[in-house]
Amino acid sequence: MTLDIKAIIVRSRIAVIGLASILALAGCATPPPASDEEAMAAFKEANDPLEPLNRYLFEVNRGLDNLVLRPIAEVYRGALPDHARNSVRSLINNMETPNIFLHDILQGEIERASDSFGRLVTNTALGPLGLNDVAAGDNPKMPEAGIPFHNEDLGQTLAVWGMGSGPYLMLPVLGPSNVRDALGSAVNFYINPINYAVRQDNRFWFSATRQVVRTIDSRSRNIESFDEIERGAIDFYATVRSLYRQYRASEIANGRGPANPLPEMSEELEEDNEAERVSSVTK
Amino acid sequence: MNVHRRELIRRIGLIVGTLLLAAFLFPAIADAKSKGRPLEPGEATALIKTLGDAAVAMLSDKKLGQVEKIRRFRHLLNESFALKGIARFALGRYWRRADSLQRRRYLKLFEDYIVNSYAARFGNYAGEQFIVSSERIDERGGAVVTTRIQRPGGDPVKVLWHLRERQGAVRIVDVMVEGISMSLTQRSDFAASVRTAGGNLDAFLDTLEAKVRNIKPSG
Repeated sequence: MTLDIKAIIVRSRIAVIGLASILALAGCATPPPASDEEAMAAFKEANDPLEPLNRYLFEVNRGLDNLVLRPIAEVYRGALPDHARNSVRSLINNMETPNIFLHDILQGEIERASDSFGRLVTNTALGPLGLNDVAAGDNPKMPEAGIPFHNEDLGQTLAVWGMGSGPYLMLPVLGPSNVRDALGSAVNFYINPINYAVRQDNRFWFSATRQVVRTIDSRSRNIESFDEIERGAIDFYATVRSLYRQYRASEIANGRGPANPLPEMSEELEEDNEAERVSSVTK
Repeated sequence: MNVHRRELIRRIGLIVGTLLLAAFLFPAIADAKSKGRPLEPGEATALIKTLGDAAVAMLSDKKLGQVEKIRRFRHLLNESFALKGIARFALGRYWRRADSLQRRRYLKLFEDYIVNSYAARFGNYAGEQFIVSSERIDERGGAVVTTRIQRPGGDPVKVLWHLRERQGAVRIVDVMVEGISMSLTQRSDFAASVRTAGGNLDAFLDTLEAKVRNIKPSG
């Protein structure tokens, strides 16, 4: 029950990967024959024409995770007490908040924009400097009292503006993405206000450092849940692909409405009149 | 030749006619089937509360052995979840192709798969609290119950429970953890696995069986 999927997905905000070079490298998945409509529908639903290449990169990323990211995340978790790690996360989140505010506005989300603005002011002034998320309240007895962190980025704004996700992509090192989100991350480097807080020649490293810290911090919070998902999955690649999609859909929907409704044609749920019990165990 | 052709046309006409009739009738049938009794306010919440209390009681009881915990968990799972429906949904289009022997094998494996996945985590229970926050009746008469699982020292996890009434019983059809549907994720996993097995359902079931054995917690 402790699946915190949020940060399992190592997201990218500094995609500097040339999309074109990936596409050029790509081997393509073979679509099923057009006569098999169900198979064709499933192929389109997966929306993963680069699957063979993506699967290969997924394995490379898993290797890197095992060799580098996970050990660092374990040391980080072991060395720092919880409140210190929370400070690291608050600081990184606070630096990201001007960008989030901007995207709240671009998406026409006035209430969420005012939340972001309030969080920025409160945490910068009283945090202090964003070192504590005082705006969120962090009171387990009254979790609804504060204003919790929410994330926005260019990928989400483009989605709200009506841009489709494009095919699924597995970016080397950076992890799961899609054409829209990868493009969004790359371009957002130039939009993010905090990047203009440092001199131009330091900008790339400033952004990259924030991303690395964020990645280590979120990995450290998901070591066990990630293991559980990996152990339970039959096709781990397909599971992560589905998790990434649903996670982004839910972020884009800002938690409103059914971001991922069960397909209503799910006649499987209705098929027969037998009792729902599978096993014969009784109390 | 001509006779054959006429025969063929007649048959095609018959098939097309039947299909049209079916297309006309079927939505009505499907509609009648998919409409359960709309849930009363509070009904779903009560069920989720009972389930949460039972689960916490089971998990925090240090005197219970693993075998007894698994037995209780299996019971809760069958009582509270539309397990068969979820299993069918997870297998998707391959369910319709499966023969009755494969279906029976799959349903049994699916239950064991869920039980073993969660049984391995029983030991991780560290005093998490289960708090029901709100309930919403959706336009189809089903209910969505919002809960929060508060981990000591950790971030709270928001979990949504989707319930429906079918054949006289209110049951959970999906669980959404931080916006991610467990049923849908399972469906993606299984769909890819069957495809990897070349669409061979028996080969997939063998893989599933091996997985069930693999994730079985020791003791």
